[in-house]
Amino acid sequence: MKLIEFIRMALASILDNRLRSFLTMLGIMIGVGAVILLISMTTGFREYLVRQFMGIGTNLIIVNPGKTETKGLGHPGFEGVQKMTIGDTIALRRNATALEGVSSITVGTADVRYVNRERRVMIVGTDEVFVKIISIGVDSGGFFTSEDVDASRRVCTIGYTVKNELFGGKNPLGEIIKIGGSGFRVIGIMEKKGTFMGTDDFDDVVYIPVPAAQTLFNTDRLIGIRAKARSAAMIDEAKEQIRVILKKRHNNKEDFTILTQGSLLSSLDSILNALSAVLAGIAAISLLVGGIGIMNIMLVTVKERTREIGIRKAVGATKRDILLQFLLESMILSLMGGVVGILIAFTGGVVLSRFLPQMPPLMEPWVIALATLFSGGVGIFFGVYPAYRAAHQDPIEALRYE
Amino acid sequence: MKSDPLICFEDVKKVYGSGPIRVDALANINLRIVHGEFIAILGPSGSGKSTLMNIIGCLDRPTTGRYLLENVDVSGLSDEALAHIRNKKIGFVFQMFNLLRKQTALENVQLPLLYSGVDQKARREKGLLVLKKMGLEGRWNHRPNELSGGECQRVAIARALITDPPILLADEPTGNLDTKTGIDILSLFKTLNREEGVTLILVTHNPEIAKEARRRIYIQDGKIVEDTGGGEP
Repeated sequence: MKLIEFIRMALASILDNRLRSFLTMLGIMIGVGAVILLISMTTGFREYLVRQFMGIGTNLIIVNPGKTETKGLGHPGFEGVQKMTIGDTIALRRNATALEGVSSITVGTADVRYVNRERRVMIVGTDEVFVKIISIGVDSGGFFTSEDVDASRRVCTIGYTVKNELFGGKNPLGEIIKIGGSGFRVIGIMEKKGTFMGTDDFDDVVYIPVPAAQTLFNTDRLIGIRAKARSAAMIDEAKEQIRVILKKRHNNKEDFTILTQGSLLSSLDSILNALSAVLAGIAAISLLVGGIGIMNIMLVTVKERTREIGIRKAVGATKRDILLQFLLESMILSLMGGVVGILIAFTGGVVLSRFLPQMPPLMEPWVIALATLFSGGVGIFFGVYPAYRAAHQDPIEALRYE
Repeated sequence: MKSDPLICFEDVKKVYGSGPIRVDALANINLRIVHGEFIAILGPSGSGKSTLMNIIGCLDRPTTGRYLLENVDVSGLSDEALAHIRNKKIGFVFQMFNLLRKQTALENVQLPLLYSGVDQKARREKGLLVLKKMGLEGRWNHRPNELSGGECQRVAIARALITDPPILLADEPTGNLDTKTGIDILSLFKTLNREEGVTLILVTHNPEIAKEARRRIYIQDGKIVEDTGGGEP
């Protein structure tokens, strides 16, 4: 009963000094607002990346030459590493029962020419299994077959951008394009896929059979192998099979790295977690600064209201009553700042999602709950000392205070 | 019950500071006040009358000696317990009114009941009743700055009376009022004492006002130098 009355008193006092209360809240408001907005942006960014990762295909396993000790994203170097070849792909196809498909990948860039138009694009040398593993479809024509690959035929399937740039409105199917000087017949056009993580344009690519690509780049290496597990439950088993098979072929050395979408996500998460830790640090600092502002104003308030405290004590307010009154006032002040901060972050998120429609900021309920809790907590923490001072005023002195 | 003293001081001493700056504000005060008395405490400033009043009002504690309030020794009670006694047993009226500026007359009057945990509805009813008794029924929604000095003091008296305390302590209650209003307030006090049996202790340095009291206690240098008109009322 008293508590409700004290809350009413605190609100009345906050409203009595509107400007001052607003300025006091400002620190908490800006701090909470900025941090929540940043956290929401991080969350939105993560969602976007997850969508992108999952969009490449399901149960995907990436095998790259070279060993990275951790689950890092970085591409390993080639030194001291036995090369990865088509033979590895074949061995995996033959022996890894947990795999649904295995595909070789080799990549390079080359000038692609059609009549008088030329363009430097990414050349992906792969095989027929590629389109079964990666979720990318053929728009018209077809992808090359296993016969094309085995016979190292000079055929290609081109990306949407390549088609537009080289052929314009003309139908490219059956036409011959020159890749690095050699003629390749266009047998298919890939679906428009868009960019991935804002970098590689999946549409600015020409796919050719992997042996043809190796000839073109004068190498017998693969830059990696892409495989697909039969099911999500079999991913771990598949990884183990790949490890055993490849190790056996590579003189018992584990000179390759096996990545899954899960491991990519977890390394992404470790980066984002580091970012979150930084944000938490900023949040802590801004709450500290805001809290000090509140303490400062509460000390002024207590001083100003010395006589009021004296009056209240004379008519029977206990130390506890006075303590509670001022503690509630600083808590409500801080809480209001936090709530307004949340609203600011929400508004900012709505505005930002117009500019970043692909990765709109995502405000999770736990963030709101935590922000509310913390801003209230800051009010209590920094309100304790001023409230203690108020509660311990000598009533006689306080009544005499001018 | 009536003959039991309401207030009993036994060798009450109050000392401020120590060593060379030691001040004996009260020296061995023995005092008995019974229910229904109307007492004026007189003395020049610095005589110790404010200290005496603060101790009677449980705002302060004696350094040594005992203070029995309704036969309960309150000299050693905690701050918390003293706050409860102030709330229940004592009504304060100050020279400067000491009303909360931003609250209405009614809110000011209700304040002590807030700290006794009385619910809002009952507080309001009681507050309006006491204000009416003070002749302020039409002014309950006014803030102190919209009220005259006399009205402010009536609000303060209403606040002092709202918990029906046995003791009303007034410190120069007419000091800030013009003569006529002062007389009105004084007669209000007398009525309260006579008709409601409230024990009235009035601190003043004005002999004219002190004359109205039935018992006068003169204080000088922390000692009672004269105590006249005492006895059962």
